[in-house]
Amino acid sequence: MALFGRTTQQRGASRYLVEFKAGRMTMEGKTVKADPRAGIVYIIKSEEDSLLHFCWKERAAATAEDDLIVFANDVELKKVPQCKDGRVFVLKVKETGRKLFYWIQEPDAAKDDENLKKVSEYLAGKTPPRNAAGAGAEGGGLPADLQAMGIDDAALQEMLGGVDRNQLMQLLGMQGGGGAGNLLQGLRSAVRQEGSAAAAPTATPTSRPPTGNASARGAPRKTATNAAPTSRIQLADLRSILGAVAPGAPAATEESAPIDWTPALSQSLLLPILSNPAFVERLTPHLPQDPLVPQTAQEVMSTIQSPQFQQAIGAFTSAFETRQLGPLIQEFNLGPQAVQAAQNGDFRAFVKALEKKKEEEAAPADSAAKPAAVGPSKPNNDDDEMSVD
Amino acid sequence: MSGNGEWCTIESDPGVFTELIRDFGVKGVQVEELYMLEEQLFEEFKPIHGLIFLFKWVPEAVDPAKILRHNDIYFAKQVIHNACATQAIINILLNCHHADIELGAALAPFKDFTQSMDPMLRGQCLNNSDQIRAVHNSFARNEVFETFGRKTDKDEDAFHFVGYLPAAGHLVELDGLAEGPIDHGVVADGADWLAMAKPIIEERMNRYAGKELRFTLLAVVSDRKLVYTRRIEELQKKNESMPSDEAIEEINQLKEQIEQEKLRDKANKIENIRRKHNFLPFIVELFKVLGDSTKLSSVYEEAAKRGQERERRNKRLKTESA
Repeated sequence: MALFGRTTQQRGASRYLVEFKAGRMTMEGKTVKADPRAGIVYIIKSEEDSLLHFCWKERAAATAEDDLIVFANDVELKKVPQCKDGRVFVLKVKETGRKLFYWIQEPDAAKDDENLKKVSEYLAGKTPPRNAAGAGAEGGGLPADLQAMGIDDAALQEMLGGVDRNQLMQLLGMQGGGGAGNLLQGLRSAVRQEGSAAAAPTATPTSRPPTGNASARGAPRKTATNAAPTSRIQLADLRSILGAVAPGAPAATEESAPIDWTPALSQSLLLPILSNPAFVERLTPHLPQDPLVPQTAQEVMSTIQSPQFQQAIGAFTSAFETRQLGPLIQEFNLGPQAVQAAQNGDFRAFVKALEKKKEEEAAPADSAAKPAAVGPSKPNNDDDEMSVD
Repeated sequence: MSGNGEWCTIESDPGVFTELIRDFGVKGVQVEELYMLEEQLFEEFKPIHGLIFLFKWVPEAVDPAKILRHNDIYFAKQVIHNACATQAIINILLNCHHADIELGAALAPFKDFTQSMDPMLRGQCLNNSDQIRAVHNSFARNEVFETFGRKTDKDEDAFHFVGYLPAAGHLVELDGLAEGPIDHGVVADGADWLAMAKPIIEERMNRYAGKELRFTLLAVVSDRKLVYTRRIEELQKKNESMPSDEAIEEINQLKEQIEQEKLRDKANKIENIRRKHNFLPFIVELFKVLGDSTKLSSVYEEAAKRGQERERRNKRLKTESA
């Protein structure tokens, strides 16, 4: 994947929160082999996405070779007692079981426990006391504009439920230009409030878009303000998206042909559906919001038939079939069967789940869903109305 | 991020390039696709300032003797991987001296600044131009779909763009991967450079044909609205001195064509808005709506069947051309 294949560039000049000299080890079959290069393990709060990163780089190198965004308690660093001939730490990603091994290159073995403790505290979402951490963990206070809105710490906590303060600060500090931040913009509107805030924790290699400054919109400050009421969702989104691209997601249907939606989503199929204002109103909020894009049934139709949308839906189905969308689907309140189908990469089952969900929701909703008599769906928009004939 | 100087891949589409050029602040030009290498088409789009030939790249040695170093030919080497289209367009634009074209606030200073540099350095300057890169990158597809793209999408990288245009009295080919402008001969006085370029491009297409290589030919042409408006003014003058129904009819037709162009511009803008849009929420809602309103499973089965048919067709095409 283009997005994640890139090696991470050096992240500004910010200082490491913890660091110790260590080499990397690679798994070869069942044995772990030491990479002889001199290296350094460090934890850093990225200036770019304000998230905590666990990194390893060659000591002289500018960029990290291992770079994982870590959320509280998603990963743990432990000593490997089985290793008698050296001092080895293992970083375990709890959910996926992925393991990264490092051999300590610090001369003083007595410091190992101290380093381990510091790292573990950061990985557990705690911020060690500043002086103990060696480097200044930044900013404790809430963004000024939140305070100006009369939202204090406690209120935020209440609003955001279970999210811990560290994670919250990470979110609020998130730069508008960051990949995930941008993803969230679009998702925010669609994600249901009741979506599980406690989405499965994940750790994943740094994700940064190849799109460069294309996404550099939205000043961070503004993001913080907007983010407040929906932050709980955002965190869940963020996690799911990061989770969605977790490494090693098996490609379930590699050989299967890509689905061709173009003829299936035909005018003749869509016309009766889009003559129902209720359906149109569900779709228009998800159209691009731009003065050039009228929020009409006609626009929904032409959007669905545009190559850009076709490309998007193709990418969606292929991501679905390769099991990349499991955590994401969870956020859309489609029911457990749909989530299960997404986790299995089984699109047919997904379709069945959506149909079944409708049946379960029974008659009253069903009758409302019947195409209404042909007529303008939004009286104030007559000009743009789709003609049905 | 932009700070790291990344250039993203953008879609090879005439509408995208037209918008791109306009966003650079260049006035008076647009990009059209030529579906055929026909003189008739050349006529329709005249004045044509340059042709862009897009093809799946295969390594080819350029005869060093054909490299034409001339102070009046602007050439920047390509040092950016993902931006060969932008590069080819800029190379063409910076060689245009046509009265219709105004380079604008991004490209004119860039040309001045790099004028005295060698092709390599110019390429590097282009690579480092935040302003040009920002415009280029604003045409990126939404990253969600970059992420989820199929592996085959990577093929895009192997495409290459070269420009053909008249410069310093020669027909030259500007290939950012070559050492300099490639000379295709002197354009004789009064001769049409396009007539000269046609067999050269044809020969190239034939050379690649049969290898399952796709190519596209684009033309950098004068803004159609400008051309039509000019023609209208011309006809109006004529009509004043010697009124004729034909002139009036043509004027009306041209006015209609101007309106068409405006619609196309708008369509291009909307396309680009869609290109950048994150459709995930829309897609999920659409599936929900379909689930609530129709036999979603039959829609899916139809789509899956069509997909298989398409795949089979593609495979057959591949084996046939192999």
